[in-house]
Amino acid sequence: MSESEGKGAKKFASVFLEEISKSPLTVTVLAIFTGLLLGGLLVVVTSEEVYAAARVSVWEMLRVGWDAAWRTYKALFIGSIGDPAKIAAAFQSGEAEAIRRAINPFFESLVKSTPYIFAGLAVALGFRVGLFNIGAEGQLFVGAITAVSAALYIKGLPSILHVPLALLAGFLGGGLWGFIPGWLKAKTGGHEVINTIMMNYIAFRLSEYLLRGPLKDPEGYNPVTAQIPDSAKLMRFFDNPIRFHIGFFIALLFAYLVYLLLFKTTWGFALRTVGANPRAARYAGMDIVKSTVVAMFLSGGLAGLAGANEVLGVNHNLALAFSSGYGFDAIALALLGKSHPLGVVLASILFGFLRNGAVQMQLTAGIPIDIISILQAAILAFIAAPAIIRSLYRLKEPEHDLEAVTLRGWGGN
Amino acid sequence: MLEFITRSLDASMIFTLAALGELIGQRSGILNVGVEGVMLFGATLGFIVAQTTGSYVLGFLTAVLIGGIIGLLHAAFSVVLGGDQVVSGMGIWIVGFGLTTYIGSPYTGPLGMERIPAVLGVSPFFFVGVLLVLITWFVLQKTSLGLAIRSVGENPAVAEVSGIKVARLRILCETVAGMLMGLAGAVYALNYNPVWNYNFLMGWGFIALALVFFSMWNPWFLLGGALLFGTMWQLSLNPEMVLPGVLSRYIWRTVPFIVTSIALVLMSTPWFRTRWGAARPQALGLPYEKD
Repeated sequence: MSESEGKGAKKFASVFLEEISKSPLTVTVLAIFTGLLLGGLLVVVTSEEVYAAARVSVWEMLRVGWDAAWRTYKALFIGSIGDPAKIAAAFQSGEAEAIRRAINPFFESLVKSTPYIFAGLAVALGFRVGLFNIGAEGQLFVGAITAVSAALYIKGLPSILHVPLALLAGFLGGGLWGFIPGWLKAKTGGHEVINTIMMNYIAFRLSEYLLRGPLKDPEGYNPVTAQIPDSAKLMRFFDNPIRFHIGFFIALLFAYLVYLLLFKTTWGFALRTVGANPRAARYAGMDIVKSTVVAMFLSGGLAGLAGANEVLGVNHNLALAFSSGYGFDAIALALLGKSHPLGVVLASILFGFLRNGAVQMQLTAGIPIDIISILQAAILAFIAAPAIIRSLYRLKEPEHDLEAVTLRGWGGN
Repeated sequence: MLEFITRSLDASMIFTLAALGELIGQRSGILNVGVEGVMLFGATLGFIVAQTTGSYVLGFLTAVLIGGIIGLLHAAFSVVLGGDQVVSGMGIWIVGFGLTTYIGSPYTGPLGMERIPAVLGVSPFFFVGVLLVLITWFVLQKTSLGLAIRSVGENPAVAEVSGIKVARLRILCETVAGMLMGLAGAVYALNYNPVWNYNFLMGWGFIALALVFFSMWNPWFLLGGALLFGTMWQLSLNPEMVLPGVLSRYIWRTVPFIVTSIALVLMSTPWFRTRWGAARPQALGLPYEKD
């Protein structure tokens, strides 16, 4: 908000407040805050101790309720960043393994953020071109399947070739899964929301079939592939238990590449024009069919990389339930990040910390991990309807809204 | 074979009820892509209430009630706040998925109640479904209320001028829509497959959503499509009924989704659109603001 700089220091405070009130970022921050608040409220409402305390007195109920919410968020914080006391103690003791164990939560959160960045970029890229890619989850599965196949069945390559090849396989696999609904949309008008969802279910069943049949580890009993060879694993920076690997930086690189593509090339300009105003784009002679197909291919490819990243960097094999809904969370991420690569990266890191912290929260505070989904959904709802947040916090309307999602072409126009 | 037919009819009625709700909402111009989410709410809460109270009636009532509330919220979001309906619908789905998993996981397992008795060899919901299709068709096509609903979906500005309360009518339609979706979810969880599992609906709501488009917003076509899909779904679960030993059953399970995609694509081609496109409510999914 640089326009305010010239208005003089006298009214600095009031201008500053007004600018904050108008900034779309404020809505985002308040949406996150309100989501967290609602999550705490839900913990209180569903906690049995609170009901037990209510029989004693209202005051007791409030105290116990506050206590439950506080415990939950404390566990969430410690689970995602690490316990400061433990970290200090570990550094004092100077034992390498103790230090690694103490700082592991922080790095594990970054590990959790990585697939979110890829998948969030996938959905954001689609939004920018006016496409609602809900198929990221399916594309992620197919990307994981092709990446694990490339890792298992291509043998004798050095790591420097094998890893990029497996990643490329993941990109192409996811890309194919995005290309199909993109092509159907461009050629026939079949809406991508339904088609990408159908592709999701096809991908799930396909992976179920492959993992119980052709891809199953011949020596095992469970529907899991064999371990991939070392040459296909993404490099890790530390010893166990820290799983932090180079995939995080690859994800940042791809975020930068998507940024360059969308905002620094004429071709990206054409893509965004198709998204923002298809009629103008057609008038200007831009190829909408090609933009749609290419955008869906790239979007699917990015989601495929999310799957490849999990297989090559974290799990080192492919199991049936390897994704905890990264592709669906990605929709919330893209909205939260306003479909901008930097926004997506920040939102992904936030979600990565939330998800990782939630595991700890489930262990110590006994709060089911699904509360994170509710938190995410609440944040998503507030982002989608900024009017709620604006009226809740008495914010001013911005001059022009930056909503990236449009309903263009539903049911075929 | 007889069991296969009755199971197919049961499955078809779940598609029918959910899609009929969506049809009513869309006719008034409101798009709800979160059918699956509403169904999850109806199914899970209906399941829990039925199991704890031991009463099917209370279970179904809860499902209808929660469906109605969600429909009302979606309508308020779309009509009063002018929000993006696709985003709101996705929100319903994501919230539904997260919240029902959160609430439902302690109840994982079979319902453990006596099955709802069959009427004339099929489940009573077959008659409920067909009757509701008949009523919906009658109200939409033969009454002044139906005319008002359709005009609100086609051109809300003109409807408003002719004295119809657009916002109120849309909220009413979407609330009824939500109630039917909630009921559909409860029919699934209390009658068709009375077991609570993680992600037990597996895309039924989205197929119902697609069915509305295939039906050209006509309740009778919708019933036909639902019967077709119900049979296909049942077939994909028991492929050995028809083609024993051909292909893996996991491949068979992709069939309903592939057919949905193909049907959607066919419906969307220019050939179809020029012949049928006029059926689409013109104001579908667009927020309307009174001048």
